[in-house]
Amino acid sequence: MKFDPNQYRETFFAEAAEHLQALEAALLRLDAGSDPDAVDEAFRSAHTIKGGADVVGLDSVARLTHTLETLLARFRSAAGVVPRAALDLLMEGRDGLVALLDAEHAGATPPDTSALLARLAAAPVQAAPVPPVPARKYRVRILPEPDAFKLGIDPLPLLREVSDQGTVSNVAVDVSRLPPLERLDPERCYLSWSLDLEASRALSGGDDLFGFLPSGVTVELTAECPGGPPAGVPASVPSAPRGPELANVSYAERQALAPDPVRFAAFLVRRGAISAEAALAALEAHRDERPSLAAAAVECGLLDTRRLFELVAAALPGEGFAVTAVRCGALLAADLGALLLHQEQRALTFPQCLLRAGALAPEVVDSELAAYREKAERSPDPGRSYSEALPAPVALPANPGASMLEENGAMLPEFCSEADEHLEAVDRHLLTLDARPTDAEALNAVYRAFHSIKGVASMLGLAEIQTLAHEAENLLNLARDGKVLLRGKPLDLVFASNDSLKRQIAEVRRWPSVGGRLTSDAAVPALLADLRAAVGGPPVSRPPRAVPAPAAAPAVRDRSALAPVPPAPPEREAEPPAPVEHAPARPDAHSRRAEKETVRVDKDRLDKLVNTIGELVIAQAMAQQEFDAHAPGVASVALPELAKTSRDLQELSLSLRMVPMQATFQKMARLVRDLSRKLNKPVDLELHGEETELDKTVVDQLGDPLMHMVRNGLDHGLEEPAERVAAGKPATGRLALRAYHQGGNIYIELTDDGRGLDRDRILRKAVEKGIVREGQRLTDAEVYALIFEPGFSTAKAVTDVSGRGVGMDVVRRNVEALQGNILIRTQLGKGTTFTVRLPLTLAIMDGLMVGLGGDVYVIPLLSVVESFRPRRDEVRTAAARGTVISMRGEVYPLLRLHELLGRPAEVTDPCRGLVVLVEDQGKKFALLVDELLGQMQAVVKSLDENYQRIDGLAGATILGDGRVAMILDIHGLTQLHTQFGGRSAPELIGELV
Amino acid sequence: MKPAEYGAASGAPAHGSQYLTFQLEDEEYGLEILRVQEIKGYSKVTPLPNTPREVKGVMNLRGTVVPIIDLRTRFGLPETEYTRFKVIIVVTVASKVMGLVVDAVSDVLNVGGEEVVPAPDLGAGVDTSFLTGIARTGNRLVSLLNIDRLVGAGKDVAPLLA
Repeated sequence: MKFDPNQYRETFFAEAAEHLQALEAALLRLDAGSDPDAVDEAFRSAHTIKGGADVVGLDSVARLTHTLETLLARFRSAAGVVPRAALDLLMEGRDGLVALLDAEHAGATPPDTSALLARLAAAPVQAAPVPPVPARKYRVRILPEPDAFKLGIDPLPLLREVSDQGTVSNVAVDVSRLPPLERLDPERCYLSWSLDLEASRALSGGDDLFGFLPSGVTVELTAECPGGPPAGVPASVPSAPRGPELANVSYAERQALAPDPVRFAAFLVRRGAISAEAALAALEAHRDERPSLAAAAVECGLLDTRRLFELVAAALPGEGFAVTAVRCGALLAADLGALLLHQEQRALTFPQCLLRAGALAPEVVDSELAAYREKAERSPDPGRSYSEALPAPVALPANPGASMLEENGAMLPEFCSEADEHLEAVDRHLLTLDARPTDAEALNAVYRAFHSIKGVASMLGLAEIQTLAHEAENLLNLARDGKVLLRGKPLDLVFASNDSLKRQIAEVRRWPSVGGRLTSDAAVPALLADLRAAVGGPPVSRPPRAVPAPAAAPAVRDRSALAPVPPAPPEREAEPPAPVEHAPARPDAHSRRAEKETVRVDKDRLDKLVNTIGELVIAQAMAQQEFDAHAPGVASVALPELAKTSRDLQELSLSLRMVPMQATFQKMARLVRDLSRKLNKPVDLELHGEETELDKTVVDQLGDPLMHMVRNGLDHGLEEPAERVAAGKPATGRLALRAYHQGGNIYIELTDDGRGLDRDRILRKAVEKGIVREGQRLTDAEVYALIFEPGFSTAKAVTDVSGRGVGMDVVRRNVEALQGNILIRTQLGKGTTFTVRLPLTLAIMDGLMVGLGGDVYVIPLLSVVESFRPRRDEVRTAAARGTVISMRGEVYPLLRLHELLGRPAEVTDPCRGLVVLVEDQGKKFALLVDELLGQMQAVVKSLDENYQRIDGLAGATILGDGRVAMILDIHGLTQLHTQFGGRSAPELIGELV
Repeated sequence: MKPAEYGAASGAPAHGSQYLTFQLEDEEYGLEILRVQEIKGYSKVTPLPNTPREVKGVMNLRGTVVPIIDLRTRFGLPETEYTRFKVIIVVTVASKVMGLVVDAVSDVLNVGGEEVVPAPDLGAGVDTSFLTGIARTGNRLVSLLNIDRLVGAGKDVAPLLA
């Protein structure tokens, strides 16, 4: 059978996604502390992906994974201690891999990973100081055993792997073991190879060279070190110290040879070897005689001179060559890295400049260099610049936002489609606002949309989008407070912002395939200025809070600014306490899960299966009814059996859709990690119950509200570290996210040990905002529920993380859309717990069947408190609020279902019909229906699948007899009631009094 | 001028296609047969609250909830009793499935492109945007319906589908 890699591709992508998740989980565990098992797990995941990628021929994926693996391998021996900087890189690498895989999967042009690869390869291994001048030149011998082929070893990939580690030269094949042809066994390996390797990092031995060295191959690694002592391995060829005048020195060598020019010059002057003037002249020569970037580009063949002239003509005033070239599309941002490297290689080193200027004799340069090195080695940190201690990775030109983008590439498509939806909604609502500028619902909807976009954009590092959305929000906020009327210019501005955001989103959508710099939207600066002017304008006193500068217009760079930036010093133990988060404390994390066999199924097929089984259950019920009608009193043997089997089948089919919360929790762990850094609040995150399963659709829709809850908890819930310490709490805040099952529902709890909700402050604010009347008495639950009101925020300051009172509104809306509810428990100064209760699945729902005018309606059992027939004296007619039911000291507004739905009813007198007491957001309502028909498990069918959403209805279901019944949406009904009451209160009173 | 030129000018189908024809009051209408999923006898529907009058309700079509639209009401004709002769034509519009209630289904008609003329402009009061054209076969006149317009946004009629 022929092996077709394409067949394997899909499987590979699916598996890779899993391994990537495992990889992230392992990295998060490493983030929490040393964990040798986690290193191994991460390594295994990476290795498996690499293997798979090799098989399906995804070289770029294999290469990136290999680099990741190499980096990981170095920590395997370090007892699982991974310095933070390296961990960041690993995370970045993982995200890059996700982006790469997504692009490959979608058939798009994969993003360029060369920058990432370079950074990964150059990652600092230890937080502790690295040997000053590590050996970087090696003689490598690869000696496969004669049986190597039989062991399945192919020397070629090994050689390739070596070449990944640096520059390879002098490759020689040793044919001395080759026997005469007649005695040659074609299945034996007689060859061995030797080569010179200029590694991009220090190597300690053959194992270090390969991520995975199979047995059957011996690798000898001999260091040739120009300066420092050989790293562990005896040097077989001691290299003679080379003079700096050597022309063809490689980049790595030059880095080792050439000390930091300024320091070296200062050193020389201090020692009196040269005069200060001579040092300055040499420094100037060193600076000026570097080939320009343009020259490097021409030399590398990336540009021809004609194109260069065109570029010079096209350059805007003050714009550097690189910026022009990238803007005009002559060079890719990725090319710049290679160019800088080339430029660096071509430039004279500082000692060479000294020689040329005749300031020093060659021997003096050598001896001074040696003296400098010695001094640098003796004096630890300040005396030695980092760039001399480590092989310096060439910093790539900063591409604003790009690295963040690369890091988050995987989330981009999702972000874009969500943002598109939001922006479309904004358009729709803005049109409403155009007609009715004070429409609160539309205003809030626009606001929410901008807020959601802003939130995610900031997470993804899309600064320009974030800023614009934030400024537009500022304007809308004023509109919401009634300080600005959205008409004319302000409305145009919001429209323009929306359009600009659309353009930018389109740009972001293209980014993964195009790569390079995100071109900024030309309209943005003017728009921002207008927005700020509109907000800071005459009628208002609230200036916009300091906003991160708009994605800086491409910084102008001159030649010197393009010089490689020395890498940041490695993070040390002593650095200011970085926020620490706790990744999952999983007791069973270390035990390897027994591999379960699984079959992957297309989601659509699964949905179809679940639907069909739902139909089977209905058909079975219909059969039962027909049987009963035709043969009353006769007991069937087959029908009950069929009923049981079909119910079992239904239960089973629903369990197929259950997935663990793990991925969602992991996303939150990442969010906490990022946010705690951004806000500078150290946070311990505990995760419990990630294995809790619930319906995939619920899980998918849970991400957004959870994100807002976590953001809110971190930003508002937890105090500043100083404030915490003052309150006698540990400086590190604690967030706990747990999920568990209870009684057919799933509970998700977010607990913080922060400041808690301030009842009085919320109440004051609510009165201020006019949500609550002065002197109105509210229960605690009602007060806390106010924080979910749109536009409600007690935050003193609006930050770009939260504080506008939008997030919690989103939370409630989403949770309610999932037919769940939220409970708040809080203690002032001690912390807050949000408990979200959700049904396990949206596909099936427990409902109460009620009759109304001959039709059947289903009320979600989750909202039902009780049902009763009120006594005459319990029904009162209040002039302003219509009819109410007053019972046990509480008063409930009476909602007549037939009026809300515009349908006929058999009973209009509550004392003759039936009242179902329902609860919505902590408020109770009495719903008048004709009769109670019973309880049922309803298979929920959406109305918008073939029609559209209808206010007051959550969907439809099919009854046992095949008829369709409507499922009521209690929240929608209460809103209808408000509208209805507003419209026809006089009628109501006239009718009832 | 030949009818064919009218057809070509208005963008009506130039090549022949098949139409399912049905009766509404005294008129005969045609629906592109490829859009028709099935034909069902009328059975009781579950009313949908707070919807336009022409939306009669929803029915269960083998486990799918399908809205039912009365074309009489849609065209502003007087409602008649729902007898067993009434027929529901199940059609697909923009990946949504819906049923159209008509008086009776007549037959399947082969209409050549040259037989279609654009719907005449009947003046301000009459909306002809529901029609792709009028087919003349023999002595019959069949109004060919533009189903997307019909249930989507009409010119003066509120859209049925948001």
